[in-house]
Amino acid sequence: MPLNQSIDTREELIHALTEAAELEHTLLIQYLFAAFSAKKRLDEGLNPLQQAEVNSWQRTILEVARQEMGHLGLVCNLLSAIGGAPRFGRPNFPQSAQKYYSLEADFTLSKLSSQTLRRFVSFELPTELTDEECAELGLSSTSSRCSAAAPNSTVPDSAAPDPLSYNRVGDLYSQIATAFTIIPEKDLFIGPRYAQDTGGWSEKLNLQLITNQQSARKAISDIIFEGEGVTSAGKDSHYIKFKIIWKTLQEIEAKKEFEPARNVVDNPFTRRHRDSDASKRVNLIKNPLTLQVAELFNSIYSTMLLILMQYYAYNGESSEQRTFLRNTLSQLMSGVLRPLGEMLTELPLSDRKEDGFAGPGFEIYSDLRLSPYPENRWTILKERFSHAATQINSLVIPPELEALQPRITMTAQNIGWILQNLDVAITNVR
Amino acid sequence: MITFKFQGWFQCRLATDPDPADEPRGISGYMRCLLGEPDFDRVIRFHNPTVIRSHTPEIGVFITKVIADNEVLQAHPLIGAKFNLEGNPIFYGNNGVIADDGEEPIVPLIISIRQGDELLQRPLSDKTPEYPFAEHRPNSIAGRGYTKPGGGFVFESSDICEQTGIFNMDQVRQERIERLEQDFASATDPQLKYNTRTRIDFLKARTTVQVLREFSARMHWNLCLKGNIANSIKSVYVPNEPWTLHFWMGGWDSDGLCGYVNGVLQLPTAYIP
Repeated sequence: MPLNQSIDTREELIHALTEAAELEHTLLIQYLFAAFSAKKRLDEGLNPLQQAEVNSWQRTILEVARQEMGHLGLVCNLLSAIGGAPRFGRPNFPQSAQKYYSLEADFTLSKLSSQTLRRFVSFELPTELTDEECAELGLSSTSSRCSAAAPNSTVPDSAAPDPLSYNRVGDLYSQIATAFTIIPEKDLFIGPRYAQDTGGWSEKLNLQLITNQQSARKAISDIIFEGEGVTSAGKDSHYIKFKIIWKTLQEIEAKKEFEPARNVVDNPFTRRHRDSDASKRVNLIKNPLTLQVAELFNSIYSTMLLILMQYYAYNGESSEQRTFLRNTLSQLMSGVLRPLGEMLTELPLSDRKEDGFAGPGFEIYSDLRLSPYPENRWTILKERFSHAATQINSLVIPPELEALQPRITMTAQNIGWILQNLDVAITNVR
Repeated sequence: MITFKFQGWFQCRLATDPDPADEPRGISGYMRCLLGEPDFDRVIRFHNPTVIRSHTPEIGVFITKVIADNEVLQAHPLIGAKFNLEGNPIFYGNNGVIADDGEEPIVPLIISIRQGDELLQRPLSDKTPEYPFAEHRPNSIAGRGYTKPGGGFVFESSDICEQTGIFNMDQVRQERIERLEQDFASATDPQLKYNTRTRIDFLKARTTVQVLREFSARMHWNLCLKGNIANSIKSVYVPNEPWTLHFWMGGWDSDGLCGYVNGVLQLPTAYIP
């Protein structure tokens, strides 16, 4: 339901979609972190039934994260369609509620727990809640509907875009959907169709081509339907899926039945970041091996973001090279990032056992920018993969962690072979 | 020339995309470990399956015919011998880094025929397999059939039905669901109940087209084996020369974690002594 109509220019719409892209990205990272922290093995204190239950929560959270990746892709298509640029940047964690985005919960990396799932539920709130739902979620009845504040800019036809104002992700999308009906269709869709991603990433993830008001509204409607139901959430919405897990975890924690997550600390980072909220606690990684693996993870994550930028903002790459970029993204996600991310949740934060385990910090060390020249892009990619290959091959795993060795070997092989595949792709550019 | 025909069901318990290739339980892909089952390992087993799920095909790949030139030998001692892939071979795809699903090389590739104490064994090559494993890759991937406009599923080849004896895989699925429902009704063990319910839900969630597509997909290999021969078989004289191996793998049954293999091994100058 539109609450204001402040988005009525191309600039404001690009601004809003850019924020939506950042939000989707930031949400999915938090979901991935929690999913990676889930225990997997019986020797971690689970019985077979508990193992299956934890597996199913991890499955659901990863599924939602993948859908958010699809939403991010759709938002980038919407941006491309109206002449904007794809957005894959975001601030580092943690970010407090209200400070960076206007949502109800902090943006922080935390392990699978009822507290974490409660936060996830709040990210995915429908725009309207019943009184029972408000009570269940501990929200005042005035929170039952989203309540975007009036825009700060009061100057009619101001040169500056109106500030964004929303308190639910669904509300932001409602405003974006309305904007697509306000701005004249014939003026709005100026982006080249070939810049959009319509590839079938998987059986469940096909991105749509946005060419007009109807396809734009359909894309937004799909995002809202899958994520935050506009008025009442559907049973397959992220809100309902997270709510079910949250409730179950609450019961398990109340009965002290078992601990579903590894002892992973919040916000495990290799360093402090200027763009994260300094008032929030982070846990700096002190164990040298963990630090090496965490830096490697972060470096590969940044490489993946660069590939995403190149894929969405290509400039002279052949269709084969674009396919290579897309395939490499899938390979990196499943064959490198997830294994390393899960591995980090079993690596010690420091030399003191009581400090717990680290986890993937998804740190971005500097603002990532793509070279406008394709040859430079390929050269930089190759350098990054070469460096990652050197780093992973230099890891020395102590005897007490030897169970991790096969996974490190597999990940190292994958990085090395992606590098070889990259050589073939580069040959095709010259 | 001596030709050995082999066929039967194999087991392969593997995580599928987008799970990492080494995912032990199956989280995001459609393949799942059940309670109490050992972790996935991707190993292609022609014999000795690590798990037996009820109402699924019996695992075992055997020599079904021995042919001397063009004469089918009715009572050759190697009929019924175990045909095997040795060395814990896997479908080596690594989430598409090496190859996409259904296009993976088999690494290592060492075949054997075993009857009692007698063994005939040969690897594809004596060289250590290396990326990109070109020799180990399937030569062709037969399509997964297609759905006709207006409905109806067309198989890529009827061979897969003739060899497996399954002409209606969807009926196999429906019958298995019915049997599992009966098992569920009579089960008292919580783990068995959970596993049975999980399998029923899985089978019900698969669409007919999904089931038929999985079943009808085939990977074909045409190989020339040149590695060192180990031979203690007396009923065939085997000179040291390249052999040819043609086979397909298909008939995938995702609930049974198994598929069908059918092929021939040819020893061009071998003969019955």
